[in-house]
Amino acid sequence: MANLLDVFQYGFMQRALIAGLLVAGISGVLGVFVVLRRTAPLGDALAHVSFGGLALGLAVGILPIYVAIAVAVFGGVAIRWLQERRLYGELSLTIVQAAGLGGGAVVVSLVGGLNVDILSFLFGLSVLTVTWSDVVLIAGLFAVTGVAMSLLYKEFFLLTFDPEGARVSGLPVRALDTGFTIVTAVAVVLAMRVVGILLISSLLVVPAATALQLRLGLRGTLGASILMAMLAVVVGLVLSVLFDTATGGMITLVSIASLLAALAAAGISRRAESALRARGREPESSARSVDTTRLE
Amino acid sequence: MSATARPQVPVVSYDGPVVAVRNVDLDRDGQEVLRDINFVVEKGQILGVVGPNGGGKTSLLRLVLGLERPTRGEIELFGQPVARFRGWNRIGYIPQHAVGFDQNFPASVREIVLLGRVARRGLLRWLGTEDRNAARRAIELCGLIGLEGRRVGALSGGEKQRVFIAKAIAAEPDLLVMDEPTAGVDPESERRFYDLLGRLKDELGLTVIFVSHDLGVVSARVDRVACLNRTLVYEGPPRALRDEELLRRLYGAGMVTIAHDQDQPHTHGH
Repeated sequence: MANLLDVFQYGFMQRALIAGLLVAGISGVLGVFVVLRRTAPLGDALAHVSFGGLALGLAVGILPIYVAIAVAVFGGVAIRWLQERRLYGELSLTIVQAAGLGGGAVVVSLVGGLNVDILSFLFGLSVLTVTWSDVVLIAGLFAVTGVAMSLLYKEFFLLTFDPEGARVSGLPVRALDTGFTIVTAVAVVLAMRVVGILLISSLLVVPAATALQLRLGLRGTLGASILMAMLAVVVGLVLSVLFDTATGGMITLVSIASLLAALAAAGISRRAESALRARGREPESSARSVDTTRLE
Repeated sequence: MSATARPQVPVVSYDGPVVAVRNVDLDRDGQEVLRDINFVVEKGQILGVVGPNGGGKTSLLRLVLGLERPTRGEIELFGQPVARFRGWNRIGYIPQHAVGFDQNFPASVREIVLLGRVARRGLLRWLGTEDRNAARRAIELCGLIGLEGRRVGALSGGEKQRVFIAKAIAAEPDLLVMDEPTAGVDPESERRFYDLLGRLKDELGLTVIFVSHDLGVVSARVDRVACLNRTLVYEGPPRALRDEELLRRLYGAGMVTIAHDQDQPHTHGH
């Protein structure tokens, strides 16, 4: 075990670890809300949109990640705008996603095709390439999204649990929805720096889904989701260096492995529970088994 | 609405009706939903709205809550037209399928009841001691002591219903609006619900409007009844409700008169 952690003696591993843990923290929290609001595809859509921004940034020579954030936020606002018009419902995700990807593909081909940079954005960073300026940028945006989330935590909670009640109680529901989309857009671009555009759900959705299996309160679930995302980052980093494989892919596999483990554990505990109940009181079991269907 | 703190509505002493509905019609997609609705609810009264399914009960609540605008007529809340009303934190609302929310939602009873304080506290402010105290009082009043740390999804239907009432009460509203609060709840929980309703009225001076399709129980427990079938068939004290002619106008001929029996509280006329 001590030997395994020796890899963190290297500067590049320390930088990758810090960046990864910060991203895990913010996407762990947001992921719970994204999953509970039934908007899991939003993360994927925003990630694909940000590809257009990356391509644009690379083409015009501005730091791609800034352009990606701007484009992702713009894409998020566009999705909200389409949804409010009720023109396309959840199609709005697909439309904006296609616009971002298509635009990105055109820009990339104009400036000379795919290169290593683009591939790292699609499948996540190579641990060797994280610079201190990456870490500083991620830390800065982590602070901004963290403050926004802690200030709007109670509103996002109410909006997620009881949207109609939130509206009746006079909360500015539309502004909050847009705010949530913007925060998610920023978090998605950050997570993209670690696991890549195509693997965004491994940090945004999967750790939250794992945490939900533990049947805790909201605070407990948020904490568990952060821990799950961090665990995936640390173990994924170490394994990817050990076996010399893609870091984003490894983080994703670890994340999904822990979800499967949690699902199995939840299944076992439910079976044990209902067995106990069946022994105690016969008729009760059918009433309780209603809430055992989730995430299938 | 501004992104800063909510405008705090000064509570001026106001003795008029809490809700006043005058000459209200509602058409939706060219269909007549409600016609010529008139009634007032005074402070401290409990109004039960009854009537057949599709009779417009939920639509009427949506109008009162400002979720929909009437086609004609006026609605006033605390003396102000609904369109200009800003004191929404004075109104607690429990929607029809509140109890049927996602059973796996990861939240404890205490967390949910605290949500009742969110709008009252305002944007960009954290909930504090005052909010936790209000939540604890609501939990006590609704008989949920001992269940604070439990996941709401794991509670029984009646307990969940009381959690939602506690959430509404935690906001310290003046008016509580509930849509079918006793639907899908067992008889014992239904009895506890009506007892709780009485306590809310007596101890908090709350004005309550609720919808039910269970005429018999409602008439025994409220100050006023509104019988709604597209239009108001009857509005007033519940004693007139044994009138067969009235029931026929409300539910149509063939309606079986409900002899209300505490063991069988769900005899519905359709």
